[in-house]
Amino acid sequence: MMEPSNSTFHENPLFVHKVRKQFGDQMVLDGATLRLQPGSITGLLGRNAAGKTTLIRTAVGLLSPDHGNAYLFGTPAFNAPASIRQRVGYVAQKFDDLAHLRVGDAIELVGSFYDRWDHSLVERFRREWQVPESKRISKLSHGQQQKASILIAIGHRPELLILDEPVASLDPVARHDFIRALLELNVEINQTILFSSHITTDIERVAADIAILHQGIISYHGSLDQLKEQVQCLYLRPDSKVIQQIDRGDNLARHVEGYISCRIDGQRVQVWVRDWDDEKRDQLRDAFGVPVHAEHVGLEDLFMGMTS
Amino acid sequence: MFSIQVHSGVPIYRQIVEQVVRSVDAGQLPTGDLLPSVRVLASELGVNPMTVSRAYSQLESDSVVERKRGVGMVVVRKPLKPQQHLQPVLEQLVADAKQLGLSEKQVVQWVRQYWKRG
Repeated sequence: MMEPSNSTFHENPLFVHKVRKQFGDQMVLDGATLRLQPGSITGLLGRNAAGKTTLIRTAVGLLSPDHGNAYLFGTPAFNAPASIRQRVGYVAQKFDDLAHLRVGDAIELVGSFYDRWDHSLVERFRREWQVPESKRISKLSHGQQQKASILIAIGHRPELLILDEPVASLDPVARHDFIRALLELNVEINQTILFSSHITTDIERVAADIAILHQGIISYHGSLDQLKEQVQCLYLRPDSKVIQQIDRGDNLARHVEGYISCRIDGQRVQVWVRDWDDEKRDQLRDAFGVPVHAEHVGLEDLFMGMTS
Repeated sequence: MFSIQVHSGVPIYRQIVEQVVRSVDAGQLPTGDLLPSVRVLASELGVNPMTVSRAYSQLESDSVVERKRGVGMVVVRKPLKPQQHLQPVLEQLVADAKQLGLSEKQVVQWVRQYWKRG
């Protein structure tokens, strides 16, 4: 496959192109591709150990890919020049580099690396989030440490902000404030935002797009609304015949057009399908001889279906 | 004015569209009224401005509102007349009754009976 020409992706703040990354004999990323449009807010979802952090660290240039490449504003991310780094903000899951400093000093230090540093923006959020200026970062609670790391990442008003599980250790009120702040940043400076989270309601609230990392690749990237409209969840009556048939490996995909996955959970048979309609419903009902009930579901259920 | 269920299977933009349509049909949002700006509504609901913007575009193409330059989204659709309000329910009632093989007389009698009860 040819490398994409510069003209096709120079507008994309972030472009991960067919990236493979292996640690020992474990293939973490196996050809992952993700391209963000300017100004978009994307939620990155994946099960535990799916490789979200590896994908993010590759995207910001902290890891070099084994194959493929990651680009920031059209420039290879690994060893990207300062002019590119200035346009990117990154909040890591773990935050220890500056832990020994007081909050105010850490902000001051990081600010001095940048040509443009928006003190008033940082100060506004520091006050709103009540992060004490004179406390050492290592002495803050985990949630407050996370807020401090976000403050440090937004002061240069990056065009692209990448956050790895930013809200994981915030309480619900702080999470809500944080999400509002993200939206403000997005509106104020048309900031492109990528954030990973396992809290699906946060993603549902702010992200217009979602990317699902599953088995080393981005298995879905697109509009969350569209996904909610396209994919439905079917519930089959927990009839022993149905379960037997599925257990025997009778391929549901054979009977259901647009079949995605299926899950037997105690007494419940759940089947995820794309572009469902009445005709397909009748087809399935006839194949298994049980009533079929279809429902539109929230992201949590969709996510389960897309990664089963 | 709006209440949004973020974890619902119904996309947020569609929830906004449906709530505006309902308010317009019921006369709570009269012709000439302005919808809040995209920014204001997005911040009020704590949702992505793109989502609100998408809902407004949908309302515009459904001719519920019109985009007026420098003003905002103006309600242009008139509220429903009482008969229009009941139309879907009446259609459903008649269809169900026919499927059950009921006579018009029987259905009218039942409607009367329920009318008195209410």
